[in-house]
Amino acid sequence: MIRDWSIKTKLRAVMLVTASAVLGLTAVAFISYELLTFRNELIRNVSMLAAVIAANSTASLAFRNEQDAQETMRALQAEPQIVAASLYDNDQRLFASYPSHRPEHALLREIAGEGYRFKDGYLLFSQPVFQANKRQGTLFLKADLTAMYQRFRLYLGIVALVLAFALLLALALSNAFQKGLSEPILALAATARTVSRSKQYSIQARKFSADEIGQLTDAFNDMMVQIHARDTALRDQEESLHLALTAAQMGTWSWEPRSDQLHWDDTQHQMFGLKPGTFGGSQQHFIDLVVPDDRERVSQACTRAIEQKNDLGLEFCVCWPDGTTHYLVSRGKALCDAHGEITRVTGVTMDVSQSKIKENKIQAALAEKDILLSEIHHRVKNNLQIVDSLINLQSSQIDDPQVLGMLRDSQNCIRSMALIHQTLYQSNDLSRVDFSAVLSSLVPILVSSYGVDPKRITLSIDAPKILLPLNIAMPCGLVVNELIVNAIKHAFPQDRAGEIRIECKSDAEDCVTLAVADDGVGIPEGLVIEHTATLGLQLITLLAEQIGAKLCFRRANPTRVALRFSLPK
Amino acid sequence: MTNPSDPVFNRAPRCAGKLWRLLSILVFLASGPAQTHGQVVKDYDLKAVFLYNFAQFVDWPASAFQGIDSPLVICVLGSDPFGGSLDELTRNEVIGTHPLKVRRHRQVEAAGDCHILFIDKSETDRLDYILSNLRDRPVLTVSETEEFAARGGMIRFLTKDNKIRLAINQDAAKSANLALSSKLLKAAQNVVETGIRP
Repeated sequence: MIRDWSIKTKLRAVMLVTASAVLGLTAVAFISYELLTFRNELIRNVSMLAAVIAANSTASLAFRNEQDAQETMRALQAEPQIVAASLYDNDQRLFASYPSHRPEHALLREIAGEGYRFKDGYLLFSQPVFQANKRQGTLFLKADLTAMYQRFRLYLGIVALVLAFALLLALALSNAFQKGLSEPILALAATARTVSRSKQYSIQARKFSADEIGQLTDAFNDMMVQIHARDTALRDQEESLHLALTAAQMGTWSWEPRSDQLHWDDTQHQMFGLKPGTFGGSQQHFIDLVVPDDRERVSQACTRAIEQKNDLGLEFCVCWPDGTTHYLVSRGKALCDAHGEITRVTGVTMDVSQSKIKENKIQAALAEKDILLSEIHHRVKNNLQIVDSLINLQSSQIDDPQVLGMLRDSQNCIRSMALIHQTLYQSNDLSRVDFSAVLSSLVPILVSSYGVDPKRITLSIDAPKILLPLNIAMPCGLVVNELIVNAIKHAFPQDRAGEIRIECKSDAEDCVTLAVADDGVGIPEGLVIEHTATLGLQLITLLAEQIGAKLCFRRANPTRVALRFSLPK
Repeated sequence: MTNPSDPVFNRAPRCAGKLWRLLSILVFLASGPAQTHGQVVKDYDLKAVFLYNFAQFVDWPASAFQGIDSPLVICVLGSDPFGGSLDELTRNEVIGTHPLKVRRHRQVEAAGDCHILFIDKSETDRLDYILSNLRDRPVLTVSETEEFAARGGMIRFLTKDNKIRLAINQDAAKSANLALSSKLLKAAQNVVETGIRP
């Protein structure tokens, strides 16, 4: 292939081809001109010869003197290029010919037309014979073109010699001149090769001149300086990264999905319990090192990350050759080409075995704590139930209805607290309680405790699921208990019918409103709420303060007491 | 298979040979005189052509023509051996600016203004008289009479190897002020330069 030739050969070839083309064209022009000239000269000579022979043959034709005509024709012996001639009279009969013994002269007339033409290496010429404007016959001449061909061959020989000499000269000159062009390029190429082989980017190419090749050398050297600087910086960064990774005990890996080549560094090998350089180098080899339970999940995660072009995040266990299990976490980042196709995924792997063990211990401790808490709540509820039963026993021995009423109030408070503890240990979450569930359980207990006729006083709850921490749920339960008991006792005198409505809702700002409203008789106008010293109201005020709630009263239509408080973040 | 010794078969060539000889004789008798006559006619046709061609190879003095387009006259003195061929040949022909014309005369006196005069053999006895009558006149005299050139005539037709050749008396032509083309002289069989002047 020409394009693979060396610069030297190409330059030499260009010069030789150019010289050959110029010389060749000149030679062609020269030979063509000479041949054309020679051809025209031959035609002119033969034409003159024919005119002379024709003029001298008029009388011979006129007076039928073949011998005389033959003698005239014989004069053609002096012209070696004339190989044949024939003279015809007006009756188209052959009158004389030259040379006389050649049989083809009779045919000559048939071969030649009017004027002249070249055929089969001969010039055929026809000349009418006139005497005093009277045509006497026709003369035909046949001229050999050997001389022309000989001259042509001579020219070709000369041209070949000149061309050969010129090409030799051009070769010598091209050898001398091409050095000026090829030497700097070859030097530059040699420098580039040396740099490529040795990776020594501090090497500089020698500059020979200030021309374009010199500019190319400058650009090359400048590029080398930049590459050297970048290479140094890169090496520093690599070292820093290596140090950081070593310090962090992180292994690095690089995976090319198209060729399924997975490269690991030494730390990565260590994390899988392998000696450096012994990893198989493909995704399947990696999967095989993962414990069987995690293999399917890891394989799917890899496939999903490639399909969705997402970053890769894996958490898995590996079993080392020594039988120990290790927890590893791997994070990878996908690198895409210009078409958005993933070309490489690179990432790091950390051994999180120690953290995992600690985490497991913490989880176990937490579970233990939950069981303990649940048990405590259960026991508290049981204890509260015992207190409730004790009050029940004592109530049976008391006849004073006021004392009985007070004992029943206390019993209700105790029940509401026990209910909250019960709800807590029955739920999974021991820190928070679903207050709507507490309300749903508490209201029927109160209705039953005070013997309320459900047809006369209806109780409705408007409370979607709301989780309250124990320290808030407990006061809220007591407040709701007090407010419902108060409404049952005082809002509907003289068998008055009505509705008690309990609400517990949170708004978008995690602000909870807990309210108890009734459409009973309302709070009398003369009663000053702030100065009332009833136990219930004091309890409500104290509990509201405890949870930082704002207390609002509405005297009638409907009568409504509301607590508004914020949930802790 | 035919037997070569069969008498009937052997008789056939003998009969054919006799018949062939008889036919040959008949053809010879029938064609002989006619061929001779044809040859004579052909010779005179050729001689008529020669007479016509002389006009192209001879230059006459300007005084020989009355005008630039006056005819060039070819005359036959005595019996006309050419028949109609000379008339045929010269019809509508022009030499230079001179149209050709053919005339026939019995007396030489009438042929004084001819340019070419063919003197028939029938005038052989009166040849000297004729030539002397034409002396110094620009008349090209042509004849077949033996020793015509030697006797002062200019061109004589002679037959050699069955071909018509010319004998030319160049002195006679010169004295008649006629310029004969060198080509004509070259084509002549015999050029008599020291011919006896009549």
